[in-house]
Amino acid sequence: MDILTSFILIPVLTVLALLFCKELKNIRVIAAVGMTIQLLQAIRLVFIYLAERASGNDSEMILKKSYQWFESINIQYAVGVDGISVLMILLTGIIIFTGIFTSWKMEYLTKEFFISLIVLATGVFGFFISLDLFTLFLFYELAVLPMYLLIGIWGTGKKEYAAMKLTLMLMGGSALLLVGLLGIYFNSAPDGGQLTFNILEIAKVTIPIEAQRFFFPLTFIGFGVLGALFPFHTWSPDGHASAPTAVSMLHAGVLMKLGGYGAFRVAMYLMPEAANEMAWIFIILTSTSVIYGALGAIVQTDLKYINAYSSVSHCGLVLFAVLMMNQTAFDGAILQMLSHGLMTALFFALIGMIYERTGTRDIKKMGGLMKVMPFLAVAYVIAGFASLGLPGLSGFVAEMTIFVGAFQNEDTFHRIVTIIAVSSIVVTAVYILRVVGKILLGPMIDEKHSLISDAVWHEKIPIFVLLFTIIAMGIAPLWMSDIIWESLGPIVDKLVMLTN
Amino acid sequence: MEGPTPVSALIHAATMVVAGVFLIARLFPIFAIVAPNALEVVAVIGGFSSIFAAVIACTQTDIKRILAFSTMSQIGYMMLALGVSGYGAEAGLGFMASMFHLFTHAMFKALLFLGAGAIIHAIHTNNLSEMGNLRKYMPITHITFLIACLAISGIPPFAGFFSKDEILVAAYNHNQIYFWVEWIVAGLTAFYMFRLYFGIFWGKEKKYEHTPHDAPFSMTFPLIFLAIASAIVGFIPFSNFVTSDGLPFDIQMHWEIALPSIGIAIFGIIVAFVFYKKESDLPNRAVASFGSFYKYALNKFYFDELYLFVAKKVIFKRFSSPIAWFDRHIIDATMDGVATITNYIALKIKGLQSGQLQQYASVFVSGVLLLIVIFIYLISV
Amino acid sequence: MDFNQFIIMKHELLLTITVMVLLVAELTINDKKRIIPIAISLFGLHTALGFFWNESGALFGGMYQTSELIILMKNILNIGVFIVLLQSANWLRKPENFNKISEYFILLFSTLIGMNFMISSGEFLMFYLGLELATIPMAALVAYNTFNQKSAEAGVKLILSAAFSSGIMLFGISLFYGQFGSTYFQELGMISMDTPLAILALIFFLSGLSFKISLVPFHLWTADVYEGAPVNITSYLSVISKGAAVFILTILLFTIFKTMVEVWTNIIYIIAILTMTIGNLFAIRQQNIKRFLAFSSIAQAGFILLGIIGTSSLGMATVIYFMLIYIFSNLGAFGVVSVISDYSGKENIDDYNGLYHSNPKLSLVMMLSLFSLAGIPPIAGFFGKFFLFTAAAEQGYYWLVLIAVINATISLYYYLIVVKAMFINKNDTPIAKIKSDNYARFALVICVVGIFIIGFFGSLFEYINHLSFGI
Repeated sequence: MDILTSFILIPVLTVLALLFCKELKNIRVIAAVGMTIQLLQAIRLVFIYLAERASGNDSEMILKKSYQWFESINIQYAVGVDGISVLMILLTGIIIFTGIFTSWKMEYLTKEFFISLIVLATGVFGFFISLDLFTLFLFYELAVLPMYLLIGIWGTGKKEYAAMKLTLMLMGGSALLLVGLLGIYFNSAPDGGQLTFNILEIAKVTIPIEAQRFFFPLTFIGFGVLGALFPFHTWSPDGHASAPTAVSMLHAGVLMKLGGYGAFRVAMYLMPEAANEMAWIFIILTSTSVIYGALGAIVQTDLKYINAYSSVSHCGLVLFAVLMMNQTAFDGAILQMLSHGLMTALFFALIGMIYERTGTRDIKKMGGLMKVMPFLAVAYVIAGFASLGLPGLSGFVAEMTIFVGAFQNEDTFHRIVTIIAVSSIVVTAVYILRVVGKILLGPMIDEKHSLISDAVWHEKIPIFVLLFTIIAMGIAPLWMSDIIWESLGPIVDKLVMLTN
Repeated sequence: MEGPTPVSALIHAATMVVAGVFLIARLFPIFAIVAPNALEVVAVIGGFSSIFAAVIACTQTDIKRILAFSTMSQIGYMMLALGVSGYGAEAGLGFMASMFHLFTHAMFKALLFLGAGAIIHAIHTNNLSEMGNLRKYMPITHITFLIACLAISGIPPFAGFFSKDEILVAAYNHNQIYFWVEWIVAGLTAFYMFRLYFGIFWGKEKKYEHTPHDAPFSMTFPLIFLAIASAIVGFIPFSNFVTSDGLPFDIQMHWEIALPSIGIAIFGIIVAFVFYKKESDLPNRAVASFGSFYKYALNKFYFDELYLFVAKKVIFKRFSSPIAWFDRHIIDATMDGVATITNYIALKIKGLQSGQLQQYASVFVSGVLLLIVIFIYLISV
Repeated sequence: MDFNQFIIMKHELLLTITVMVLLVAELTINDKKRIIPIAISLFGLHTALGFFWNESGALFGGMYQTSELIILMKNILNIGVFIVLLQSANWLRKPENFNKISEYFILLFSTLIGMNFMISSGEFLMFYLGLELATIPMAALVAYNTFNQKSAEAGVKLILSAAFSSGIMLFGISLFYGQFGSTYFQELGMISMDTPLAILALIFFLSGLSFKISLVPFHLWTADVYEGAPVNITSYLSVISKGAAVFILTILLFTIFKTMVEVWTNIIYIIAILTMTIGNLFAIRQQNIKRFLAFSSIAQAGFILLGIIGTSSLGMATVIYFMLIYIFSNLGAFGVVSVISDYSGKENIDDYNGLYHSNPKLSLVMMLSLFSLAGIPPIAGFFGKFFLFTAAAEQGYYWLVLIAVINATISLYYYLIVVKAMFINKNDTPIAKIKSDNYARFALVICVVGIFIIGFFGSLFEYINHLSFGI
């Protein structure tokens, strides 16, 4: 049983086990055990990957397997990973693991909740290991299916509206994506030969430029909707705010990265000529996302909305970096995906815990919480520092790399948008510190809050894990950066051919 | 400076605030060789900062605030020194002087902050007007504070004299205007520092909650240590160690610069002595003669209000709020609008399904006719 | 006459025998309820036998023909009918239906015979015969609940509309004969048809066939008839009747009318866009679940046209593949509707509020079926839709595919409304817990298994593709 397919099998088995489970206690244990195994498998994958590379295997993707699925259309179940996918799988493993523990106290329809959550994660894992566009798309859509139920049933606030808006907008994005993928498929053999959905094969040919001009925007926007590309980001604030905690963690932490990863791996990699031509339009849109999200976050008063707009800003930065078209910026983009994933998961987890305790997410109604829940408060401060890019934490590593990469483009247009994007750091500091100051420090606004308790064991586990990873990534990012750097080789080669 | 005193002493005196100076010093080759115009900008800003802060410091009544503006003023000196510097050997005098002043400043400013901390610890107030005649009660603090004031005013043989002197020489060599500005600032520095000194340790004794006394040894030891340092570090031949191109060079004492600077410092001390050693009406009359300029200085020239204005009224109100509004009411509304339009169209065409068989038949026939018209007459096969 | 040759007509003959047996059973058996298991098992046997001992060939001078492809189509329809029969069992046992049990089966099988003849036809008259045989008993079935006004109204509407449309279709057929002198498909397929008269005839013919498939603007009968007819007849109509018509449309367009391909691809293009859009727009507003599913199936038919417009063998393969998946999905949905309707009589979407709490398994089956119709992976509907779009994209119809995927997103909206009702909406008095009978359960299990695993068996699609042909 190859390790990659196990990433799909383990969740499926967990779901099956959950289906036959009746006791509340058992449900939680099974879900936790299942996802712990998944996380360990993800860590193991990292070591296997490093070992493979160290032993001299330098093919573009390793651990490849493919089975013919639909021969006449040349659809395969093809899997494989490179450094980037390995890290994304690790990220997903960490977040689903922490997500399970954050939802430990879920009382309403617990079994269905965990099943939906794990199905969601399955889709994400499958996406990252797929090398065939059809399979990729299948897993991409699979991840959308449970979202509606998760937000609609277990959410808060305007959950039905948010769930419907989110689902329809994301499906709309994948509608565009479908057309784009079909376009790529039918242009995957411009010199004759067999059409294929396999990413590696398509990467070897050059799709005709007229076709690229039509399908690149479709594909990029299709992924971009999920990656919070302005102006298709509006599902995000309401969606994240209404979703239950673990769902927000998974969604902002991982699902939005599907958009960035897809834009990079599919749109950019397979159609670099069009990307080069049309980059400027999307650069304007993404840099708008970055600064717009940050400015929008300043005046929000609901903790989750602040974080949602913050995610728009940070995920916009990912797409921004992808469009900078050089290796450093790509490196930064992947690092930012990892960093932001961890950070926003931590944020949403903490916000959920605060909400549980104080009954409100309105920052005007909270104050002085540092005194009563020091553990959670300190964790929040660290998460905040990571968000504004404090060195020593993951955010700095990612943003630094992105901006160095962006600055390598010497023309005025790129310089201006880079400056705009960099200025978002200041704005981020404003909204982060504003919130920290208002709710954690200062006087206590509501006396009832003095009775709340600090974190319990099943909340401490995810917080510790996430804090550890954020700090570790901030202090020792080089091993990740190296893995990413060498995996970027193929796409950078393709780009180099462009400029020659 | 709102922070606790040791924090102020560490970061606001010696380390964090000088980060900017250190940045320019570290990147100095780029500035000096590639972009000398940028250095000019540095010098102007440095000079402006030093006089700006010094003026404000003369009006403040919170002792830590006075020290904070003093820091700002001294950093202005350091920036100016970098700005007037060239690269290599004697031309790089400004660079060396800046770093030298950074070094000495750390000593006496930390001492001043710690001393202020001891004072605040003793009498539980920051306000200068609530202090007086403390030399009777806190002798160690008094002496060390005095040493620091002398150092910062540039009185030999204390540290500040040597470093400030080098800066003035470098300024004079570059452009005389810088020299005269800094000369005036030197006078102001002496004035407000001794205003502070006399106001705390001399003058009329105020009502204290309980008898003030010197801080315990754990707190006075650093004061003594730093006082000794302030006295002797001026004699370090700094130019043997820190220069713009890393090569040592010799410096001489320029008495034509040093004497005027000592002179104006002593002048400032005397003015402060006259105004503040005893209770007197002179300060108030001086204030009145400055009129509204005094008021601006007292309010720190409203810079804080300006920043707050830009942040709250401009960025928050004119950028962020509209963006948040735009997001919810335009973009979101567009998406909602798409849904609403779809629903509306669905509602409006409901009538097409009338339930009447006759209508079904006529639509059928119309459909057929329409296809016929399109495909036989409009599109030629 | 070589009687061994009649094995070619195996499907129709077996069905006819079944009908005879049922007629006899009607006369001899007193406890009418026992007819139900007899009929179902006979048909089950027929379905199973349909996969063996098949031969291709032509009979009656070419009026009747079969091939492996046609046999596949008939088998697919058989599977669907079998599921419908299973779902009907409980309803038939109700006292008001007591006297009409064998009529139900006889009429149903008669329409199936008609559809089989239609698919196997080799010339126009045989085709028309099959068409009429498929339609007229259908009207009787629709009016099955004789004392229910809506049912009777539906029956009348169906028979009148059908008469109208087959009149026009017959006109078209006669124009073909008039121009080209033959009604045999083989011969017509070889003539190059490029006269305006031929186009006229084609349009008439297509409108008649579009009536059966419920394409816009020939669909107006659909909603009323689906709503008025008994649930199981509705499911039969939406799946089998439509499916048979789709199959025959595909075959005819790819064989007889292949010379007019530029003309009919444009016609299909327009009709596809209209059908998807109108179907979706009307579905959004529906309250009655049967009407809702009616419009949903209209929209699905629009998607099928995308496969037809991809005029290659891939196109035909995707159409057949999708039809199979559609049978399972739609029958899954209708199965749940039928169970709920039988036990509680409720047919409004609002009545489904909070269904999950009282009937979790039924809600799940409904959700899976609806997601299959919407095209969400990993359920088979996703594969079906994806391949249809691939077929259209192969011929370069990217804008059409774009419109189609946008329509798919719109359709997701109204499917989610039902899901929302069942899972999210609160209801103080949800439909009570239903213990469905074994037949219905078996049917639902088949549907669920079908929609889960069809997507993963590439060999099934390959087999279909192998049999298909294009232009």
